[in-house]
Amino acid sequence: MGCVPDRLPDGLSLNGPFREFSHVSRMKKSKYVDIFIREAEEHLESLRKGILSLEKEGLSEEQLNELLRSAHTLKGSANMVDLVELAGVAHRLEDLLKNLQSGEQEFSSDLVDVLLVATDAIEALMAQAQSSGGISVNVDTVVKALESGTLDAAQDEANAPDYKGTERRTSVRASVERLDQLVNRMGEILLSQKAMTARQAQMTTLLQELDSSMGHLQASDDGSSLQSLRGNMVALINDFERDRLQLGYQAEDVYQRTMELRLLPLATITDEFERSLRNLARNLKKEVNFTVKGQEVELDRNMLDAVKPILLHVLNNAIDHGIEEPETRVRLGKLKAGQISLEARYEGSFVQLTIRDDGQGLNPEKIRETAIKRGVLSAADAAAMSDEAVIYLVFEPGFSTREFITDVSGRGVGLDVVKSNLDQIKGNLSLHSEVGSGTELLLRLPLSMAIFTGLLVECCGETYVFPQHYVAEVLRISPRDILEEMGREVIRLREASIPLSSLSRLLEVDASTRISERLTVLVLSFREQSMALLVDRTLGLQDVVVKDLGCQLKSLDYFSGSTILGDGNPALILSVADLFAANQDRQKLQLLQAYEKEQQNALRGRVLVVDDSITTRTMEKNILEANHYEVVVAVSGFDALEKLETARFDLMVSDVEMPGMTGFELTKKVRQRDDSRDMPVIIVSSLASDDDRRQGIEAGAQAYIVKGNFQQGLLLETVETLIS
Amino acid sequence: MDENHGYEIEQILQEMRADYWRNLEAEEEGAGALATEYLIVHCGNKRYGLPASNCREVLKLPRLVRVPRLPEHLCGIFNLRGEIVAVTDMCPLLGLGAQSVQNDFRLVVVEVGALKTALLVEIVEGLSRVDEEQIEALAEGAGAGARDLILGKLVENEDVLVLIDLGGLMARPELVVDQKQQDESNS
Repeated sequence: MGCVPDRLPDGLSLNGPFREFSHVSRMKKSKYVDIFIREAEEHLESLRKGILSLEKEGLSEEQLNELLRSAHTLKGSANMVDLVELAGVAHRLEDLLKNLQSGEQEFSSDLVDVLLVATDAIEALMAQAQSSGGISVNVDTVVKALESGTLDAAQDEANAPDYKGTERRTSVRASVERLDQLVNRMGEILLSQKAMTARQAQMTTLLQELDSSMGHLQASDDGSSLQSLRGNMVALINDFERDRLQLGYQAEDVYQRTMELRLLPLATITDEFERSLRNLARNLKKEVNFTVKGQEVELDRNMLDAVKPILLHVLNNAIDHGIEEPETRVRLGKLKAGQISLEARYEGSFVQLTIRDDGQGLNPEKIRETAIKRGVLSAADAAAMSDEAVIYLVFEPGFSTREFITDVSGRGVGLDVVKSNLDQIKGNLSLHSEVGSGTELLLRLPLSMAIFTGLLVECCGETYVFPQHYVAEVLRISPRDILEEMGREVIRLREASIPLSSLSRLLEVDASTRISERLTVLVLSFREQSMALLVDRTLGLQDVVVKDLGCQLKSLDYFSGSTILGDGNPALILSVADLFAANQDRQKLQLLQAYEKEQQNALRGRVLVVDDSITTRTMEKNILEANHYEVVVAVSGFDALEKLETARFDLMVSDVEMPGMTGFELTKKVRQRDDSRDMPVIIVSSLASDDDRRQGIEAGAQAYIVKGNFQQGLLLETVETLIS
Repeated sequence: MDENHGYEIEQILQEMRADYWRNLEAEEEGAGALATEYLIVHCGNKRYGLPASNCREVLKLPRLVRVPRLPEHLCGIFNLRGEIVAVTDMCPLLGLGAQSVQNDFRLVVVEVGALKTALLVEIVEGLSRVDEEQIEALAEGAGAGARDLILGKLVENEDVLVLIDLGGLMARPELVVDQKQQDESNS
């Protein structure tokens, strides 16, 4: 640690107008600087874009928050790699943005110039850090400009950094060993492919032979040569199949290995944490013992980049807000040094990161007070929230429990970085804290951002993809499992009520939700909340490659991207975060209502209408269907018996005089069949004599309606009585 | 030495390339001043001309994947060789009723600047050269609300061909959906 220069607590050590940059050349040029530069480039880009859009579109809270985050992260990361001047500029930049947010600083195009000059200075300092050369940057001028909010024209020129932008990094480092493996496998694939080509040539020759034999066969042959040819052909096809499978296997393997090329161990980012945390603790006059377990756990490079600021902020917060002063700890009977641990381990296709500290924990009461004071939520809302839910408020933008500003994690742009980065990488987070004994933060991350395992579901004829790690389980329920609880529809699962919604309703794809007897429900979990979601059916798990939604669909509510399925069609990937947000304020008792309506409609029964007259058939059918019966028609007795073979009916309405078989005969036959023995039968006939009626009853009919006084009310009434 | 050599070759190549483009532009200007090619399509039983220079390809209608909660002029998305492209029905933008999609419809992939979309059309008639001088302005009051999307009209044999300004069409804000941005500005 001897090479690390002492720093002022606020991260600034600026003296002299043209200070030669020295840290990087003094300490061994660290590999972390490279990593930092890569990260900084992104922040720089978003700073510039944001500043320019401030000028174009005026001030917006969201835009300022973004800018603040970038400046804050730049400051933190620069401090970690000892780029003190850069951190200083970022710090002042952050101050200025903060003043802009509070209204202390007025917004003007001059100010935009100042902000842009600051980004130029940062870029120049980055270039300097990379080359460790002697490009000098007038940091003081920039700092002054940032402090005053105006550019001194005289100094403008001196400021212009002589620097032309760094090349954007998109590469990853791979071990020679891994590359060798990859190349070897590739070679084998090429061999397999050559083998297939040769086999194909053989097949072609064989086919020609087969063709010429066919000619002979027509003349005389007994077919034996053809038989042997056929045998050869079959053998060849089998060989071919084997080669093909081999090739498929190899290709899969190459694919896996290529994917692994993108992975880097967690140590790539955690190595540097230790030193910086110790420095930070020293500056805050605290003692900390930081341990890392699972440094060898590998993650996608992009994922590491996204996770790094998260870890950094959480760890900084743990030291700044969590760990108590040594004397306090001793008094409380704790170890003098605060214990902070970072643990990573694989869990299926996820990595579980756990950050624990044994500090004072998050105090729900204090958080409530602060949240109300900062206008994050109303007093009534705060009181209604459970302690478990309250602690998540620390992720809200503009929230910070510390009264004073420190260089470390104050100013309310701390943990909300965690939140937005997590949304970006589709990670899941949970926070547990106990007052007095510490805080635990669990991060569950997919191994890769570009590829994840998705659960494919169908909803109203389209396929949608859920990231599998949000799906806790898939249930099959009956509408009777849906309960009402204080105006919300819920289902009960292991003694807990889970709010139920339907995907089609949330997406507004179908106004009339179909509720059948068997329902498929996904139980989603997100930040320790649960939600049950009705879908039409599940189609299984599949690895999906994430794509954007194209240039026309910049962002959609409820969708985070798309993927292309095996059939070549796109499918939308659902944003579980958005679904949870929407679920908060919508969805009343629609499902139960829909079910009741459906009950009235569909469950009235299936009726078989038998009549040789199309007029009667159609009339009866229309009457019954208009009253929510399902109707199947038959044109004769034989037809009716056939229809009875294929489906079950709740009731039959039959004419008497029909060609081939009378309605009475049909009724008798129906009574002889096992599965229709108890089915009610209504005879509708123009035969009005008592004898006819008696015959009908004898045959086994329950009711006899005479066509002459046929009224739709009578038919419906009879059907209703007999079915219920 | 080698570096110098390489530098010279690069410079020569660059000059050659510049020459090539100059010639090409001169050629285009010569021809384009008089006539422009249009792709003639039918939408909602009307004939339209799309500037061919912005048309990339014509496709048979693939399966369109519906995207929930989109305005009616966006009919869905499809996979164009690995790229997700949205399908636009220009009729609602022209103030007409939306087309009801039929299986034999075609898609015309058009590109203006960085924006690419597939226009939903009934029939693609083919390419036609249109003499600039023959283009007439729309009648007063015609094409209300959509005049910025129309270059002019061409009357031939009592049939009116409306020429679409794809630049204007693609510049319409409703062509790009940015719901999250909207939500934020609303709240």
